[in-house]
Amino acid sequence: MPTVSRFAWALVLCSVLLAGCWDIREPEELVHVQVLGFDVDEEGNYLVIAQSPMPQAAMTQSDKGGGGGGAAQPFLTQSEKGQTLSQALQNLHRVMTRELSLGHVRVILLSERLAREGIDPVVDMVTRERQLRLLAGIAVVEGDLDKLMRAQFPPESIPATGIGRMINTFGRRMAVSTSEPLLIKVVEYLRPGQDILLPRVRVTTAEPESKSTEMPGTPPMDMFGSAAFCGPRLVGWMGERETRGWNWVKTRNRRGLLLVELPGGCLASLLVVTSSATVEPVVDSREVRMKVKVQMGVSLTEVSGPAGIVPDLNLTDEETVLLIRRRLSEVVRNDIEMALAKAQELGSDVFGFGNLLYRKHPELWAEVAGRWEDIFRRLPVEITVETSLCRPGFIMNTLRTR
Amino acid sequence: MRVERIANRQMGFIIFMIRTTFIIATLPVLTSGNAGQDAWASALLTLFVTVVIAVGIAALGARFPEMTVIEYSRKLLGKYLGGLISLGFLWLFLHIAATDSRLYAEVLVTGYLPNTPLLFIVSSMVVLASLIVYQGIESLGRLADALIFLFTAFVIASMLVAMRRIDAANLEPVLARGVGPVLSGTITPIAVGAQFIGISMLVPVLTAPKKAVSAAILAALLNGVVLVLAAVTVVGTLGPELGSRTVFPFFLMTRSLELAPRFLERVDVFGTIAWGFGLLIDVTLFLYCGSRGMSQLFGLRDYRPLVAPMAVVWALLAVHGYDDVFEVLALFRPEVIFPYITVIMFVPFLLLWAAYLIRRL
Repeated sequence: MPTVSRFAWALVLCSVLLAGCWDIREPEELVHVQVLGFDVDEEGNYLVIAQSPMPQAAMTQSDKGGGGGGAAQPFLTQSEKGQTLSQALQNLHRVMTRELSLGHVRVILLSERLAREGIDPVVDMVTRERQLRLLAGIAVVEGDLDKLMRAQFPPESIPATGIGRMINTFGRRMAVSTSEPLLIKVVEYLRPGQDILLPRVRVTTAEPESKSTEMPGTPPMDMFGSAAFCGPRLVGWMGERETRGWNWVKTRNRRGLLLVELPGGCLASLLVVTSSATVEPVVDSREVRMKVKVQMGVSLTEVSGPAGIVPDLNLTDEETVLLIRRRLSEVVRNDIEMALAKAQELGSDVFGFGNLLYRKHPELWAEVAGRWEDIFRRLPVEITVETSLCRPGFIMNTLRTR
Repeated sequence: MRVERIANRQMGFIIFMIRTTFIIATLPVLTSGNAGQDAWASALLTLFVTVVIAVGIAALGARFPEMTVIEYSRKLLGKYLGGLISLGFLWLFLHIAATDSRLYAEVLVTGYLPNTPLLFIVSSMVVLASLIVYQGIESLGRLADALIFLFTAFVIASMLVAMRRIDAANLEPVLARGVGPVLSGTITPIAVGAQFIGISMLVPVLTAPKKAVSAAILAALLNGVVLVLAAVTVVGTLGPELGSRTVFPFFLMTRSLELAPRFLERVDVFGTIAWGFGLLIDVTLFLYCGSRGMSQLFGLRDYRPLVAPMAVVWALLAVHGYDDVFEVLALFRPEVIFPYITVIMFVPFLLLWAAYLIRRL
């Protein structure tokens, strides 16, 4: 290539590559939101609450020897209103000294009021928005969302970390709750014949940050059961056992501790180690029913009795093992029946029985789709539970002092 | 003047990469028709038809091992009709490259760089492509050799990460609505088989032009397999509802995945880089095809003087040829793209084949 030509190319490259960066975002000018809260007021305006860690404040606190009265909070919580969620988010910049970055949002919290009005705008925004990712967790808050997001979360110095850990760790692992990434919830939300179940967060003792900078003993929220939706609207709460029953059928969160009562008032604590389920739609002369079969394996973690006396429990005895299995099956069956009864009462097909019918018998689904909610409310479900005691722990028989 | 050559293997890599890039871009089996959860079946049908298209183009080229399609069009159909068809092909080269680079610029603007001008993104790609074209076709061949491993690894990595999130329920009911929706999902990807026209310009520079067909078949088959796998992973992960309503489904899928929570989350970078590699090959190939074809049509000895002005036209068409992304995507509607490609490419190739067979009789 002639020298002139090379020079020309170099000039073109320089003019293109060195012209500047249009999307430059300096890290020190950003604030990374970790928890987003969405609420709606009486006038129909959306309220967005954003919480972000402030590492500089945390460093200042540690320099001063762990904070105390008057020390800067290591997090920042701001809220603003708008006619749409995006406008409310945009309005947050009015009260922020830095630009909001949503790329690190770990949890999205919805107020009960917004959930009852309908979550379509939230689904639309989170799937359309450039920075948000469908990896975040989502939950419905029963209680004052704003108060919760301004409260301390011991032992975490940043509440967002605490909220994220409680929802993403406890919620995703324990069978009495549920928590899955937005992606799974959005996909379920869009399926025909399927309603969604979101984790339920209860505000317990939340105190606003302004009242105290000292950490109270426990986090100001707990995870308690789940929120059942019918289409885009929250229609009711499901308790811990009901949520657990849902988990057994949907095989989502398979960890959990079950207590079964044995003769003599003795309680056996059983830890779920394996759990699987099959659901099959049965169609008899255009009538639909569901057959649910749950298989579960547990490990014995403790046996306790009234007044501190542990009754004899000999696991080498087949009858004893059979008894534990039978009682366990009853507990699991009761969980499922309670979940089913609640879902049918609410008209919320959180089990996705309608979707199963759509997938296995699409021609029948086309006929019944319009009146599925009514059909679901009185849908007969046969439940079969098979359980096994997989492990006794490290000891076979009860230990006693001589 | 030394004749530049590339290996048949390199042509296979080039064709595989440009076709796969388009799949990553829009996954037309899912987004263009209403195949929904049966997009994998549309992909399977598309595989067979595109193999036929690739064979049709490569086999005719192999019968004229020293000529490009621009040259043998005039030989088979005469100066005027052949010239007219060649003009159509030249326009197609321009249009494919411009549209593909616009799509890439759109995803970068949508996902990462909202304030960066489209012209900057497109120009960066076109400037780089024109430098490669200026260096000759061998540079493109070597570039394909250099990038194929990373390209394939990144595409496979994206799909492997997605495997964890695949829910079989998203793929049901299977073929419940009959074959109509499945066929509707095949029209656009088959029409986009127009990309195989690049083969007709590469055959004369191959080290073994008469074996062009096998390289083309292999590229089309591998691409078809990737298309089927992409359809399964995207629908299995996003579900048919979300997947079909998404502008860039493969991209959204990778954005919604993590390899290990809080350790390796941004796996979309794999797909985006692979797309960038593929697009560079794509734009380079069609810039080469356009400038070489133009030089042959107008009797110039070398195509290189045409590269810079054509690059400018390429970039401008990519940016100003479409008002917005809706207009780009409107082109891929079955009722738009199929008649368009049929008139500008499928019918001319049928004419060329007919003329060739009549001559043989």
